[in-house]
Amino acid sequence: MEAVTDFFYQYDSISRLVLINCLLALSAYVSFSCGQFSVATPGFMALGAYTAALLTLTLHWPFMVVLGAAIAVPALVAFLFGLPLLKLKGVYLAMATLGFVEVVHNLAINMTFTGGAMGLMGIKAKTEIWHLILALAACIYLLWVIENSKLGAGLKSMAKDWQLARVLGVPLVRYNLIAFVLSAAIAGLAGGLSAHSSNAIIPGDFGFGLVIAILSFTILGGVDRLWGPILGALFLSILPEVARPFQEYRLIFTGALLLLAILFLKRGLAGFVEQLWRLAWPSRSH
Amino acid sequence: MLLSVENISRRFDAIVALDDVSFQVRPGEVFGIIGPNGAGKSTLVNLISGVVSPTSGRISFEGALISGRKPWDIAARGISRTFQIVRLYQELDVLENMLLAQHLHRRPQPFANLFRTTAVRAEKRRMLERAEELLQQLGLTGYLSQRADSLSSAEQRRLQVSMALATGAKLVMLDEPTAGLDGGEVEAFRELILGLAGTQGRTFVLIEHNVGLVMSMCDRVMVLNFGRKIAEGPPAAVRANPEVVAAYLGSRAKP
Repeated sequence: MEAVTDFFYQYDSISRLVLINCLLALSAYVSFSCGQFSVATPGFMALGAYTAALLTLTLHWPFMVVLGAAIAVPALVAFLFGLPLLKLKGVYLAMATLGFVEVVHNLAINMTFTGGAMGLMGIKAKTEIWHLILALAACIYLLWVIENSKLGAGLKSMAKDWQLARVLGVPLVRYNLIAFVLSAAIAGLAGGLSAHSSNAIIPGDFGFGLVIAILSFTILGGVDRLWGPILGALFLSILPEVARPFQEYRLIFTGALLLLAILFLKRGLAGFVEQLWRLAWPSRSH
Repeated sequence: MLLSVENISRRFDAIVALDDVSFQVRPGEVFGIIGPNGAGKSTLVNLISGVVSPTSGRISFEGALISGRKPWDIAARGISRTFQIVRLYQELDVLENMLLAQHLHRRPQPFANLFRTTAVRAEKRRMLERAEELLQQLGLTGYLSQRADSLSSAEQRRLQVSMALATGAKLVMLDEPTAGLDGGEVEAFRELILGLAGTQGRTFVLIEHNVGLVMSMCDRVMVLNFGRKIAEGPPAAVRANPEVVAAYLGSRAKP
């Protein structure tokens, strides 16, 4: 146990980054796994982060209450915007949610109460590593429970063929909205935790770059199983640290890897690992 | 009456797909709908399952108005369908297909799921038993762990029916269920459906191109042409109807 805590303290900042990226990957996964091509995660994360930071800076609310608000505000926004947005499908939904991310990003830059382009500073760092581990574990457990429930079966059915799901009695609109709100809540939690992890937040943290990063986590990891995006987030967050000696070639390296994954790993890293597993222990496959 | 369609019309811009069509389906019967291409058969199926809403007219099921309701609600009331171009979860196995088809039979039980109580396992067992029972009725015993896309087309068509029944449907609309099957397979399919309709009290609406099949397995038949109903009645009477002959053969009926 001590070795574990030592490890996290030694690699404190990278561990935080990895854990928050895992949460963001899960947020995107919730949308993708029911066939919703939404890239709104950074926008919801920003809402959570600014909500948390402002509540701490101005009202000095207890940390746990602040985190609750960081979950609730994006969830509420997702609920309100969900019905009109989710009428769109496929790449049109992706464009609309990208627009949402840009709107939130620009509001954060242009509003005075958000501190403009400089963002908000002097937020007390209250997020401990174990908060992040606990949050990630809770999210994984929750999503695993949902996957094995009636709701999860309906979401899976929608992702595979929504026209068939509809005649089998899956309420598409309601389930789409539930997934969208859940995705926003997880992104908001990640935002609240990250705002209290680094003393400061700036609008640039929640822009187009993050959209691409989150897409990369999910594409590389694979979206058809829960641990795919987590594997992708782990891999792509740790990779730049490992590849530090290559300096400016790092991005090229990451890009090439992503291209290879898209071309050759149809079901992502997770699918690849499972294939290897089956090759090694053929009897365990069912 | 199980299903009652009253004066239903549907326009798509300038095209009148269905024009003032009325008919009723009795419980336990096999009701056939035939008509040349573009007669409005598919639109009718989409209207009844709630995917398309009528321009005018009303549809009721077991006495309750269903036109204007959402597709999932109509499915929950007991109407299901199969598709002319087979729709299955192709990359999943037969059992997984059957489990997803039982969505309406699962209870949302968040606490049981959260704490993994025995209720979760009981539900899983119940769904497995139902799946096996239905697959057996459709002659698909022993296919549980086969991927849907590895089945023959006759088997895929039977799996579609067993998924439709798995929703708990009282009325199943079969949209061209024998398209692409050979004579023996068609005959086997006919036997299966007649068996289900006779002994299980299930009701079927059969939409077909194969006039011979419709005439040999339906209690009553309705004929559509250019969106309008031109005949309805027992197969023998419909077959003799001059307007039907004209629609199918393109010749003018003899006076």
